[in-house]
Amino acid sequence: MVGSLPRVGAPLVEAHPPPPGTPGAVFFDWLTDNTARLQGRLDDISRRWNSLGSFIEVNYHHPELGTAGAVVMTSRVEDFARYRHRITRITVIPHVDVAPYLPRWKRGEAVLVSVDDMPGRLALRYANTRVRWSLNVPILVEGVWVGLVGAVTAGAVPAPMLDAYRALAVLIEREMAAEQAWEVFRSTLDGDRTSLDKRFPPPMEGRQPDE
Amino acid sequence: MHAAAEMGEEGDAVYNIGTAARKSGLSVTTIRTWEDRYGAVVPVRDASGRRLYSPEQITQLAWLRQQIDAGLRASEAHRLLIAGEMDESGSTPVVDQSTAGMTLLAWVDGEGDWVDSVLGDLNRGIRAHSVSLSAVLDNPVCGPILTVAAVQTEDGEAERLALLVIDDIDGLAERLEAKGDFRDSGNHFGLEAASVVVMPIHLSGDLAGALVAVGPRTDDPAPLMQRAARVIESRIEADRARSAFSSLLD
Repeated sequence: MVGSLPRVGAPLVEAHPPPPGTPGAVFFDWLTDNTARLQGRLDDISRRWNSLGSFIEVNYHHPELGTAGAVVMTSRVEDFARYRHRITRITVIPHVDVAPYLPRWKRGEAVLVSVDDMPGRLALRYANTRVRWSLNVPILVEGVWVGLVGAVTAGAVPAPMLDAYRALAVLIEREMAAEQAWEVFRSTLDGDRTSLDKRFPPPMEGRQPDE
Repeated sequence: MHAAAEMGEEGDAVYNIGTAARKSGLSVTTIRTWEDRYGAVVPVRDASGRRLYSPEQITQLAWLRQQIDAGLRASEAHRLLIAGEMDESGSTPVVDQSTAGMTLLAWVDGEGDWVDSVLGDLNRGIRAHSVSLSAVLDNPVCGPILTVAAVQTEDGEAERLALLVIDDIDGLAERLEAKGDFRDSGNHFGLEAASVVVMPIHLSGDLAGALVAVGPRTDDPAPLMQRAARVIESRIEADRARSAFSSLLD
């Protein structure tokens, strides 16, 4: 399933994947298996709040850059072809460039920051773009920060928009938790009762997104 | 106050069944069916054999309807009535609609097939006689109760656990609140030659219900029951998060 993510940063994460079994790997694998549904949600939330773009970012460890975040999924209101070269600048951001925000993300706190208030190297990445604000909501797996969901905007971010992105982060976390719990239950059953049929679908299959 | 299955003088019973239905909010058919099935509210009859209900019986019928509206099954509501659990006013709702237990009940109503499948798998996995998913409801008269929302059973034992008054079982409330499983030989539950394991289910930190397994005394079902409880909890939490997200897009 790795490789099904269509967006620019995914191959970087695939080349340097989180160690199997770690919270980061759980997140990346889950994203890979749920790409279509998440893409729909990103598109919906971008349209609803008319952001320049929404994104999902995965933490990974690059051998040269160190720990970094790679954007693996995006939804854009802006024309992608026109802005491709600019967007590539923020495809991977080393964590050293976002050091002031790391403690808050690790605590599970959202960060909304104006480009004017960003550290210099980070602000440069948004030069010559319409981006004025960046909203980043952390995603935690088993209490470990594994990535971000957020948006970039040309104007101020209203409180309801912030609430919506927080809700999306919570939804991602809870769907992952539900899938993990289901797999643990099934594997225990299958281990004890190999004859048990496996007809029953996992919790999220067969449902319409956000029904 | 105990349910009155017998009446005093016929002169005390002044309402026919149509009036009783209108005043209690029940249908005539339901009142007749309950009389036959549960024998809790039995009217006197006039010389022509027509049913006559007293004001107290009308109050009892209205109370039964309230309990069912609040989430109890008809059998459970009658059991409480017969056990004398109806309060003096006859009008106090049994449950607070906003509790985690009510959330669990409402969710089970919409996910019955999925819940039945999980309970079925669990039942086979632990070789139980029965497995049920019960909600915790706060009864202002007898305290918190466990009431069955879904059940998989190979015999009738689960029916005896359809409604449990938690405080009647020593140590059960403390174990559930502490998120620990409760094990008993079955004697406290009126079951012989069986063990009972109760595994709590919490939603957003609040006790919402429990899985209740009745089985042979030789097996330890707790580990698999704990995993099943996590499956149910996490699925409900994911559904709630999905609803919350959708509402913010509207």
